[in-house]
Amino acid sequence: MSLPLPENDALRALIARMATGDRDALAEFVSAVGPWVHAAHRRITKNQVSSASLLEQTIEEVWRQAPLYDRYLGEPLGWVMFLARHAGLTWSESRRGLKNPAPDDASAPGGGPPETAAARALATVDDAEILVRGWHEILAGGAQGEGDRERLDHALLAFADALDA
Amino acid sequence: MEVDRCEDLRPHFPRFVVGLAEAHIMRRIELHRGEGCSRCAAAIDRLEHAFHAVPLALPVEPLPEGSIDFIVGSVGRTPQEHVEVPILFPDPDPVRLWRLLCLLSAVALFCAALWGRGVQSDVADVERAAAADRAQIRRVLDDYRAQRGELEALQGLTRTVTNPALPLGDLRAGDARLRAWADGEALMTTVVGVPAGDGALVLWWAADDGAPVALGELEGPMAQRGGAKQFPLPAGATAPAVLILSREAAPGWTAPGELVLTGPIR
Repeated sequence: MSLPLPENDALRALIARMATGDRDALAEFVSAVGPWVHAAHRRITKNQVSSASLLEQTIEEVWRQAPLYDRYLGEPLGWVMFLARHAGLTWSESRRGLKNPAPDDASAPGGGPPETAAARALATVDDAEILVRGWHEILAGGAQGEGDRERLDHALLAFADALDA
Repeated sequence: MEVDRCEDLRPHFPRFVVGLAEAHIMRRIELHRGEGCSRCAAAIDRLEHAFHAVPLALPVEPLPEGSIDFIVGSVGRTPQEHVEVPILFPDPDPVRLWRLLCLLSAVALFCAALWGRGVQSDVADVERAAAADRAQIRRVLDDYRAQRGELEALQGLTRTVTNPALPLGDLRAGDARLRAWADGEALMTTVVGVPAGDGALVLWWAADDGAPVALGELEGPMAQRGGAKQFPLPAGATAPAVLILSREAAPGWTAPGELVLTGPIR
């Protein structure tokens, strides 16, 4: 399924309205970024309920910090995905000691890549898999081999170059 | 050797963004960003932007039915952070700063002047005290010299009085008494008890073979209360002779008037 990627300017305006306590803006914001955050959490948790909870956590954090948001924090979408990754990795960390994480669905969101600049750029990166893993998993320095870390470095640099191009 | 921090840290930026850099590298990069290196900050922002765009390149799916309303209902009740009031410092106003500097300088000068005035006052007090001490020392020295002179005079008087060859006179009449002794060229007298009256008290020297010669005047109050006075003797005066104390009504004494005391000196 292909969903449109929200524009950063539109998200900035929504955050400004959310900073005033506007719940309609909150609904529009969740509608715009929710699918992307939810999909990312599905890939991290492999669990529908957990990813819904993480989405709620992420949106709550955005709502709570909306009055403090300014452009120096970066693009709104990047900021939201940063919060989403932080929530997901914190969840992963908290479940690291459990014997049976018990995923309810092993399948990540299916379908083809979305029609986004990021998807086009990622398609040009040779070692995209390590980059995707790096975003969705806790790659501990000790557990990760130096070779993998170098692959991740190169993949991220290539992805950034491709995005700029 | 100074290491170019930017070039040193740049290879670690991807791992810093992913969170895989070693702790000390993370710390160095954060410190470097805090130093305000705009080039490195821009490079890190670019990588962060790219890194967080990774999920946007992956398949996506719509949210479950009703989840938006649920989230809005749940999250919308959460209190938000308060907007921080930025603390803005106004641009420095040079004129205002100069005025403040001048004011502070004036205050400092005023305080210094007050302090100097206080010190000056203390110095003046000390100088006054020193002058008073010097005056007191001078007075003590003067008293000492005066008393020393009096002592020497008394010693001389004692030597004179105890000289058996000195001519002496002792004139008495009632309470009035005059003692006199001749010391070569001068006649020393002590007088007491002469009653007050009109006219001047004049002391006369009358040689046996000549007319009385006025030696001088004795002040009335001194003669009444007591005192001493020295008179010059006439040239060639020798004892024995007669001393006369008279009261003269008019000036221009030529001969003794009213006799008060009279007696020999020998």
